[in-house]
Amino acid sequence: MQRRTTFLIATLSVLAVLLAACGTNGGSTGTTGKTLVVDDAYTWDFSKDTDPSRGGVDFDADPFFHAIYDSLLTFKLGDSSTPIPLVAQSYTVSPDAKTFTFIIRKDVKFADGTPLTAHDVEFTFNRLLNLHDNPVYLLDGITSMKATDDYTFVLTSSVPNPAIPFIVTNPALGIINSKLLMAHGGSDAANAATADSAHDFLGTTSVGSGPYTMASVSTSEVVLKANTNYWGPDKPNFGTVIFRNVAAATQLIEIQKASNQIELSLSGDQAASLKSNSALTVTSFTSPNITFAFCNIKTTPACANQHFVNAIRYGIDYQALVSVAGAGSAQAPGVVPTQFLGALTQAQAIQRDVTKAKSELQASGITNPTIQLDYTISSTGLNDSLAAKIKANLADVGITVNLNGQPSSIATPNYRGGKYHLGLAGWAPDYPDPNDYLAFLPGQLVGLRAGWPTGAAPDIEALGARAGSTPDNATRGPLFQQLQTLLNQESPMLPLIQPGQSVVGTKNLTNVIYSPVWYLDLASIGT
Amino acid sequence: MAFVLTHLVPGDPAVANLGDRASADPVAVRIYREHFGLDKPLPVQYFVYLGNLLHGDLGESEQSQRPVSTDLAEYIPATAELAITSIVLACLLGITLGVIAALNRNRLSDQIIRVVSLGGMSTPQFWLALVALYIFFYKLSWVPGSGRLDAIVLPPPHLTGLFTIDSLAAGQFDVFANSIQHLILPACVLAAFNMGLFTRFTRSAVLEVLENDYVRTARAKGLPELTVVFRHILRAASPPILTVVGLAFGNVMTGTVLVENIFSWPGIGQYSYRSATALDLPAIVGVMLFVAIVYILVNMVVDILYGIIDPRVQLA
Amino acid sequence: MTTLLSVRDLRVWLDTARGPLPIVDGVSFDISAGQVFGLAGESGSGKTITALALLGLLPAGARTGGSAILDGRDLMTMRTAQRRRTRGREVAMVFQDPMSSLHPMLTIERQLTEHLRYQLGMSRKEADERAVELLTEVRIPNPEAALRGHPHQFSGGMRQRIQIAIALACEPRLLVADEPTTALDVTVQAGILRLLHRLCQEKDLAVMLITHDLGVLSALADTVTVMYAGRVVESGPTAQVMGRSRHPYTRGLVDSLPHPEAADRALVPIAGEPAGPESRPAGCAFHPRCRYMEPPCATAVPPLIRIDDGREMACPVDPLVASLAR
Ligand SMILES: Nc1ncnc2c1ncn2[C@@H]1O[C@H](COP(=O)(O)OP(=O)(O)O)[C@@H](O)[C@H]1O
Ligand SMILES: [Mg+2]
Repeated sequence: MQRRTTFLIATLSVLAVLLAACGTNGGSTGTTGKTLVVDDAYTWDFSKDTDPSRGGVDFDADPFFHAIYDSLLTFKLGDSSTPIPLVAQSYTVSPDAKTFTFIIRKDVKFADGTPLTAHDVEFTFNRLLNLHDNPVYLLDGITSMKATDDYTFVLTSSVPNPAIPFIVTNPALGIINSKLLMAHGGSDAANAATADSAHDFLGTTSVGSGPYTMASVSTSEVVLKANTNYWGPDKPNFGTVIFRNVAAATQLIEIQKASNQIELSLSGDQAASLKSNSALTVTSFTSPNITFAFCNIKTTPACANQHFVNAIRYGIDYQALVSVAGAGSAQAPGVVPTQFLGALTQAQAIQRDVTKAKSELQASGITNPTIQLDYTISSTGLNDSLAAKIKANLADVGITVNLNGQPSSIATPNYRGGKYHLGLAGWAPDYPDPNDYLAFLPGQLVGLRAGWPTGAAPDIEALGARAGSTPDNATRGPLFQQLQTLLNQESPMLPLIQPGQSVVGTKNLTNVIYSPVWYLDLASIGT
Repeated sequence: MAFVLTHLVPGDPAVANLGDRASADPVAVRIYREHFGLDKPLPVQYFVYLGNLLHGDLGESEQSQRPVSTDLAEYIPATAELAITSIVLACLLGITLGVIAALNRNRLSDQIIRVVSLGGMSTPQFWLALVALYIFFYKLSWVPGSGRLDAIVLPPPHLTGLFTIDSLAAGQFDVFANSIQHLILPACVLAAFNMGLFTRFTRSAVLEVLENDYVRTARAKGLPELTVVFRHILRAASPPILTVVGLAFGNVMTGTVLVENIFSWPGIGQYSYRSATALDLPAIVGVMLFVAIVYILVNMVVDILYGIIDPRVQLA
Repeated sequence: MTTLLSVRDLRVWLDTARGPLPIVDGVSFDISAGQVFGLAGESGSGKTITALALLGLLPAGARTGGSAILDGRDLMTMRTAQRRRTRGREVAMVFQDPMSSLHPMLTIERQLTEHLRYQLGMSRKEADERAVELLTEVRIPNPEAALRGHPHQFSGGMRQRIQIAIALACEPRLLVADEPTTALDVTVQAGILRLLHRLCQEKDLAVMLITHDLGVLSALADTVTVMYAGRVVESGPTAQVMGRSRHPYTRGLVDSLPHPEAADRALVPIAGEPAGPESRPAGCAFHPRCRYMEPPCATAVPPLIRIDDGREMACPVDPLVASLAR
């Protein structure tokens, strides 16, 4: 009876769907020149801070700030060992490594055409200090920052700090057009934290001198346009860069049909699956991020027992962790990443030795120890895999590990509050210099999280202070190596791995090179 | 209520949201707390919040550092476009399939539809989204990739925030076509579950109606079958269908979290996910309020529609 | 008096849990314009199925056999679309339960005019005017207001009148009324029956009045056909079939009627239960309940045999039939 009706209804619905799906390809292209698309599964909220002094020192945001804001010094592509001139044409360091004098180029112009002077630099540094937001630590120990004339800027540190030239490469210290920003509520006064009202303005306009300017920011993408007023010798290759927020699983599918596109969030396995695709270039880097474990002396008294810590240290199978972490990963021989000055070599890294671990456990006098391993559940699942491996490793030694993975919003405050037991955590470099890793010493930021107070290891603390203030890098490097060897013998810190980082780009792209500071230099990417 | 619940979650937003170094800097933490009023005792925070709420002020998101209402206004249209399209698709397909299944009860077409609807309801959305993207974007190139528009296409002038409507209003038909192409796949994925749900409910509702004498009366008048189906049968079957459609708004809200993530759709789903992971309390409460309002509105509309559909229902 | 519809050897098999069962098993009758044709029989004897077969509204999975000639065209073999066009326009039907036979959510106007507009191509205005006319014809007070109402606002009797108006809308030539008064109060019943009678005479309409209540037919019907278990047992002019019923089943039905002049006389119901289609006895389906049963009744299905007084009946035991059969 209803054959015909059925047919009719079915036809109608198919038609409806087709109608809805139809349409022609293409669209109005609102951009000129070539367009580069960069996909990242970011958690940084672009609507929050397009203000480098607030939103800087963020893994996802750094490539964006670096492209818009020129900093005093920079690095050559692919070499983060020596700062080179950018806005500052040269700099001098006083013998005590406390005073740094930067000579500013006279031909630098902001995107709106205003010339850049040392006063803009002073404003930028002052404002960052007084906003007291995330990047403020970059200026730790700085007692004075002054434009002594239009083209000279002087930084003074209370303690010797040879890392300063490395620190000022940071995109968070990219120079801001002070006149323009002050006209729109910007302030570098002591009360800038409350007085500065430039937030909304910076959400629509960028005020740097870099090769790109910000064209639009939405919750899903940021569009950069080449700065037509760019002062530098090399104009960027792409007229437009679109920075999109795309989930890793989606990136994996989309890159296979894309042109002029880069995916930043693929896991090692995902990237490896693309290796056979001849249209793509898969590059795996060892990231400068350290994944480390620590034995918290405060919450877990056994951690004060060096034999016990050593039982853990020699019980962990580092090579197994490296293979869990996938392509590009490497063992972290010490807390300083292998890319940086003062890093230990792989030959100096701790190797698993179960017999030694067992005898250390016996020497500790602790029988049948049980310890809780705290960590953040990561979206990639890497932390879970690492934790499971550690649990299995330590079971071989006779240590029972209870896993306690928590979402970041709960785990992070616990970690930072020093409430972890056996902890699994990560450290990304704030600047590419070993001084950043003094944080792992007793009484310092990470040290305290491991319940390791000042005075707990005087030899280590003294050596750290010396290494950190040695101006000459040729001496500073070996001192840091010595420090790390000590840390690997008698500290609650257990450096584990430097995870791999995979970047997948379409084959035609060149200069897709990893930087530990700004990740990718968008302006130097070519075809 | 939402306010208290979200504050019961362990974890300190200042420590969770500030950077590694800044969280250890007492001045940075103090400034953060003062800025968001977290320095005051909880009851005071609550009354301040309520007072602001009365003025339509939802507070400031700790993540975006913008008023939550501004954030919501930006994210809601994207979700609205996706959710409404998906519910419309689910209705069109689900109700059609349900009617066909009921009219062909226990025949082959009914069996096939049963498999399809069960499939739609039981397939994990995450998996479905990826497979759909792989097949229709990568393999077949029927649709463009993720996002609301191609990367190089500029959004239409803001009017409603729904790109389809705004582009039409601006006469930008190429943008309209592009936005529809981008919309269709995530909307279908989001519609899958409800399509199955609507199919099953429609089938049983129609079967119940088919038993009634007035269907035979309609046929005895010599009306064409389509008129009988749509005017007489579906009309009578619509109250229970309407009820599930109303409920579907709830599961669409949940579904957007995953679907928006896979399809890079900048909507409430992504916003709430990010707010939740960052313990961004004002944002979380804002989203909860929004969802509650949607529920209330949908329920009101459903009640009004009941009255329109069935004259025997008296509006209270 | 011309024959409008001629049904011959109508058979219907319905799909049941036990497979296809013969529900209507070789039914034949004629209906003439301007006359009331009564179809009687206990509940379950297949009257409704017979009527639905004529309209082509049998449940899914039904099979049919035989013929139903209307104006030289066989309804039973018509194409679906053509068949649909006869509904409402040639053959219309009023159903038993006025409570459930009208759509509860649609206005009377919609239900009364939709087929006018579709079948006759009337404009909305024309259809509305016609609807008022129809409601007036079936004696609905205040027809304009009634059009705007919904079924639940009317009493059972009124709804039945509305149903009749709907059925009459496209001026059919045959109106099938299936137990049109069964669900109504006794006081209302008479009114509906009078209405049907009047329409039949005024409009030269053929009415097929289906009922299990022979009493309804005695005053109204010109001819009566009595069915039992899907077969005709007796048929003929009302005066013959009801006044001087011969078939034991018809007689049983008549005896079970309350007698208007002797209200105190005990009613005599037919003993036993009617046979369902799945347990229909061999031979004469009525034989297990029949007082006059003889051995041949249980073996062969008795044929319908015309007797001189104008009736046909199927009972081998009846002396007249027996004499004719010999
Ligand atoms: N849809 C159906 N499916 C199966 N059997 C049916 C169906 N409708 C009616 N019947 C059976 O057909 C027989 C005749 O029914 P019907 O024509 O309604 O009797 P009545 O004479 O009371 O109108 C009954 O035994 C009934 O059980
Ligand atoms: Mg009946």
